[in-house]
Amino acid sequence: MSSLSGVDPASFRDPHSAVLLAGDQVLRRLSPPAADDWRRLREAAFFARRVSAGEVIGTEELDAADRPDVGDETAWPVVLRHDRIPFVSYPYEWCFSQLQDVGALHIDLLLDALAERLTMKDGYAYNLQFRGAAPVFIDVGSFEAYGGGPWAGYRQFCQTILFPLLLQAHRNVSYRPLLRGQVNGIEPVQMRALMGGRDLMRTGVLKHVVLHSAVDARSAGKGDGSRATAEKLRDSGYSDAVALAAARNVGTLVRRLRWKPGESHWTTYQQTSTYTDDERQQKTAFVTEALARQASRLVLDLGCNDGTFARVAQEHADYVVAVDGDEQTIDALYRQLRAEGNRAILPLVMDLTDPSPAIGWRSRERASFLDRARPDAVLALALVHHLAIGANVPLPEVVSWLHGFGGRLVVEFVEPTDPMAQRLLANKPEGLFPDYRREVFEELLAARFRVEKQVTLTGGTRTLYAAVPHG
Amino acid sequence: MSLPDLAVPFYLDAGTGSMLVQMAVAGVAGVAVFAKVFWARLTSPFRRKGTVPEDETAATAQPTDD
Repeated sequence: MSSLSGVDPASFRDPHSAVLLAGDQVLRRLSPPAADDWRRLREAAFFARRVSAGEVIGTEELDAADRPDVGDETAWPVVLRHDRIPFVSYPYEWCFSQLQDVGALHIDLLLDALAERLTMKDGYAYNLQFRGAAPVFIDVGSFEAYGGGPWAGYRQFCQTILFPLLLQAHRNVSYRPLLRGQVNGIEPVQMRALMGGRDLMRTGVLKHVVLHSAVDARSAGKGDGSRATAEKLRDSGYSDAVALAAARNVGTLVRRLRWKPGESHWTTYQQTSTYTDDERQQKTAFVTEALARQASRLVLDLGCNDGTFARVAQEHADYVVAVDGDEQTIDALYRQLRAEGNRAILPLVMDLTDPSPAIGWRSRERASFLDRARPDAVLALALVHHLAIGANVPLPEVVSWLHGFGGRLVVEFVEPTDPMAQRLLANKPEGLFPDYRREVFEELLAARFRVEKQVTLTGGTRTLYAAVPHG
Repeated sequence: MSLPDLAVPFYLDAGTGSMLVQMAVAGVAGVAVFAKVFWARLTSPFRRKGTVPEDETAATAQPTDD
């Protein structure tokens, strides 16, 4: 058994259950009470059903003979091994439909659990991950025996899933900067302040936001604490029937919410872009050939737009992470992939000039995007001009950044004379980018990569390069 | 207390307000719980003042003082 690299930095909140990474294995050690809960979960009918549907992470209990060194056996009597998630992503990188599906699955699992005398300790968006366009619940340690009373995870569910969805559905305000800035999500009092007078009549706001924040403010620092309150409620008849009704109502609300953002410039990009069919075919053939040379475990498609080339990449890779800054575009792509049952392309929303930082305790709890992204190949198609002209990132920086991923590269350079580049240049003072030229780009590329092949598309303003990093 | 303690204590602060509001979230099913909690709160001052607990403990405590 390979040596342990230790407890996952995001796995410290629940003292009864901790995730450890050992080589390429994901293990979980359980305390005696958590081990009892695991045995109950293992016997539950819904668990096997949800695992085989891919909605809960595949989990096996290690025999005593296979037991790796995860600490004292009395303190940690049970060790589980989980299937690996191909690429870890976070709620502030998910589009509306992704977070909505995460919320719906979380509540479905709570309902399943309650039906078999179990409940969940928490209600955290981070309890779920994606495999392609399918959410999967990973926090098996969250299930515990249900002894009556309300759901302990409701507050966390509101803060990291329900409030973000309400904010975007009702106010068209993106939750992503808030979730990225606050690992614990949006507090009830903060959410209340974000809702205007007219929003009070909108679905879910009165109970979950207005009443919630009011009761919260009244009870803060008073009474016997939340645990005694839960016990009091249970003794007053808050049984599984009431808990089921509450969970059902939350689930219905999550599913009913809709985000109606209007049309973005990017959602119609493929229809309005200046490519000819001929050029598109040429580009597809080039990308196919470049990626077919060597099968990849992970391909990163940066600036993926409608996912055309992520789909090409999927043919030659185990997994593709498709990133774009436009949430509507990603939302549309996600819904398409979901309808197809795709488990190999993960769409994410992110501004590439401002990628996800490391957040949480000691800035280690949730790793930065660049630390997570170790691809075998990177696609950067129709991207460089947006970074260099649109965002003023110097060309040497762009090339250095692409080199930093460590994988092979398929990159497109768009001449300043191209109509799309012209559109970007029209917003900047004339003569601001004297170095934005193909010769300069090629020189920079050659300093860090070995260019294996290049093709200029028939229009003459776009050149594609397939390159391998030096040493 | 008639029922056993909750199996595993919450590892996170579930929030007193967030616990209470779930009676409303449960809708019709939560009304009976709310009525019972509210009734207990309404009547607790009278129970404390009027009848048993304090007098009773005082009475049982006294003999040992002698």
